[in-house]
Amino acid sequence: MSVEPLLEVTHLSKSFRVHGQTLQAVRDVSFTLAAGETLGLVGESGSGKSTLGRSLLWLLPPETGDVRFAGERLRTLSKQALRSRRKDMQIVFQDPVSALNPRANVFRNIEEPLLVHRMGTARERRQEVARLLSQVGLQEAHGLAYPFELSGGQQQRVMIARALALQPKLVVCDEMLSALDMSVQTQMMALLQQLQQEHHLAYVFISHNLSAVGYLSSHIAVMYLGKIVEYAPTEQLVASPVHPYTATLFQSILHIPESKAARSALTTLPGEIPSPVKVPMGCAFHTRCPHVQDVCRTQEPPSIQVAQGHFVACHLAKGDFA
Amino acid sequence: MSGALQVKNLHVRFRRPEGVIHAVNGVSFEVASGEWLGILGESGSGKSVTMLALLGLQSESAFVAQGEALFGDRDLLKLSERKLQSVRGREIGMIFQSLSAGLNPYIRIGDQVMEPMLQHALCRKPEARRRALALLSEVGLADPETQFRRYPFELSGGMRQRVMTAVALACQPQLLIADEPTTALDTTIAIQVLRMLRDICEKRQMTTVMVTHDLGVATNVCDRIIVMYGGMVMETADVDAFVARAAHPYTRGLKEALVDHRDRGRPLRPIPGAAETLWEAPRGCPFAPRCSLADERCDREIPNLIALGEGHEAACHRLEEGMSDVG
Repeated sequence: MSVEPLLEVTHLSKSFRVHGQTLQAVRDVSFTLAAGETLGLVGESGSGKSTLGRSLLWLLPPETGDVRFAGERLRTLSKQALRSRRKDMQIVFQDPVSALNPRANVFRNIEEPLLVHRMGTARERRQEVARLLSQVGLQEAHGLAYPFELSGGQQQRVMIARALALQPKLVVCDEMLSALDMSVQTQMMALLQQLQQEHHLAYVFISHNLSAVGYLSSHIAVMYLGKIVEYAPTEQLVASPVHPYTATLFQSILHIPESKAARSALTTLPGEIPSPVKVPMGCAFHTRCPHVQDVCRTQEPPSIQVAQGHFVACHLAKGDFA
Repeated sequence: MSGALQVKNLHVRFRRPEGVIHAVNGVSFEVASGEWLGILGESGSGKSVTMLALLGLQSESAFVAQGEALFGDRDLLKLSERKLQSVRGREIGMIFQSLSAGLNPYIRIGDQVMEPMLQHALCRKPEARRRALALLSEVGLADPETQFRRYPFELSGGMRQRVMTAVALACQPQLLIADEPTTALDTTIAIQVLRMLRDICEKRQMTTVMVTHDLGVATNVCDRIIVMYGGMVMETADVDAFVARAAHPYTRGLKEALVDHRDRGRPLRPIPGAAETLWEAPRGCPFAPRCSLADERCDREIPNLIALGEGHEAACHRLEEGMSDVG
């Protein structure tokens, strides 16, 4: 039985004009995401992961490529139809302070999407907001507070409550843990897990926190200069990464060592990610790759399947998977 | 020389329109010469305020209510601003997290690295230039001659952090204070910068105090770790004791809460609740409201640091009681 994916992204590209130059933020990205699952998007700043998150919601419409959400091509939708579709697709940003209305209390902030989509009576909305508050672990009294009166973790909970107000099927979480303390990050991850189970939510979880992505995601897409260089189910990707970039990224996580003697040698990739305005020829990663060959400097590697559901764009990958 | 820096009973408060925030409440610690000390804590723990106050760099609204900070034979907290200026940047180097605040956007990199040497009259300009070029290369910047003439905006975040390190090292300080030096950086760049700092500190045998919220960073580069919460020291341990025998419920909670993708089957175990703003001086253990082991004594009595082993101390009533039960 084949189930239609909730989200299907095909050949999506998005660029920007910056000072007369073209910044290629996302280059020919394709993937699918099933309902109730989590896709982790990882990569360094400039990898295009945040642009991809916005493009797939059509907040930044891509120039080429398609996004199908629940079977509908977003490109073909009228403005009005798109707006109504957005109920099902929400996004939570890194910085709740700039995303929340500072002049409105928490109650009003969470109620707002319901008002925009003209849902329910005032009384129903009040009940709904109270339900949402408790669902994200806040008390009804928090509804009367203003965003600045809350801690960072509480503000992020308000953002999640607001994203959930319209009962979406997909939530894009864009670096939503980054500004939070470590103990609060774990609280937030537990909340995301619980909500996913309760509502069969799909997440696109964008983060540079590789441990968090590796823990929450069913699949991971590793991005480098706008391209997905490796995509696989999480266990597969973590246990047998094929792309040299993926391997180094996961080796760069600083885990608590067993002892002082067993500490990280602090080895990692040389150099830095090049500017997306000047994407290197051939494989974009070749300037930092420890295994670079001549072919990598001239030809862009195609994405090939190396194992069931495991795709890699690297000349050195063996694509003998039938 | 034993201790490079000795902080005793430091109290720092902030004046706010709504009242007074008790940010640091009786912090004492010592940094041994040549060691790399980590100060670990979450926001509001007082870790950064502690270090800024020692340098007289706390914000306008903050004031040191009490305490001593012995650096050599001087108490940093009693020095005049003029005297302190001759210590800062010369005997104590500083690196901060904020990539924009640390460097002046209008001044070329080379001039910024030369500035502390010229300001403290260590040498004349040609010598300062020669040293600045050597410093830029020491912090791992390729082609120092070119970097010397560039402006901060022309550099990436990782390169700016390297330049800030060069500025901090310019006068060959004995003590380096680094406040979240890698927090704003990407994973691979953070590792590069940590490696550079570790290599330089080892080579120069420099004493380093690094403020961080990151358990992975602290345990992989520091010799010893101080855990702060609510403006107080909860635990101090060398890395071996920290990783094997962390004792304070807060430290244990932090370690438990750490997410590890290699252990996906394990349920997440966050510390419940959140740190609160301290509008009053703590009367008990500041962690008590979030601590699963807390009893009423924890709310009304401030725990003292008790020795758990060589160089290992924790401030916890329950731990103390547990120990006397055993003994």
